[in-house]
Amino acid sequence: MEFKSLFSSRLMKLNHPYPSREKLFEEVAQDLVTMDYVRDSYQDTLIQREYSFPTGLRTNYCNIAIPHTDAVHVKTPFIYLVQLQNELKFQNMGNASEELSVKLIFFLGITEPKNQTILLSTLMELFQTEEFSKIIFEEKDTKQLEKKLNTFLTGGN
Amino acid sequence: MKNVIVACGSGVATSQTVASKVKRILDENKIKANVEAVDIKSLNSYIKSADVYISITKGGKEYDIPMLNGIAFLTGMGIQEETEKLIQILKN
Repeated sequence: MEFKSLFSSRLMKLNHPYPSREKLFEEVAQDLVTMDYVRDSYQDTLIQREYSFPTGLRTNYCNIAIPHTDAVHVKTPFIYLVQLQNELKFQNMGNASEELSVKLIFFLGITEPKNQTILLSTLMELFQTEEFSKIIFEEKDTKQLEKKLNTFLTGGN
Repeated sequence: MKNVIVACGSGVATSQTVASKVKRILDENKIKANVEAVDIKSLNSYIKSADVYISITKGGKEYDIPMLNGIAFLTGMGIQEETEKLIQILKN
């Protein structure tokens, strides 16, 4: 599984308005069910897990969230990216009593935890660079973003 | 050999990622230790044999072994400090 092949314009919502976190989770889950990436059980377990184990994170340049759930609810590995028009509140993973305002959300679909740490570790390493954070924070067009990310992830080749 | 335990809610994403990062850091520093990612529900049975616990979530139970901040290994923010503490613990 290659990391770069996981970013697809089909799995992106850019500059998208969501009135609430619940609405966001619901729409993304339904999208993923339709595209056959996840099982019907994904939505409920995703919401439940975010509630019990929040996934908001501070990175060098911006706050992000990485909602995910048990591998059994996922059929095919994916990263589904949502860039929000307006920030939503997520609890901080490291300290659940703290709320973070989040504009970028990466739904992680993991089917083999031991073998797919590359998903999250690559993502976190990329977020330590300003260039990557900027691209993903500012681009409004899904096709353009897919292209830019692929260029970035392959070192311009 | 010393044991390092990393725990998160599910053992799906975060603890596995932190565990592989910690393994890499220990390799680079030529320190031998077992690093294991576990889900938080089974933490109690692992903690007895562990020398250090890398925790993802704050406010959990306290244990009488050293605890480190797992988020630092995930996001890279504050990683230098946590790495130094980890190496100190494993060297002693």
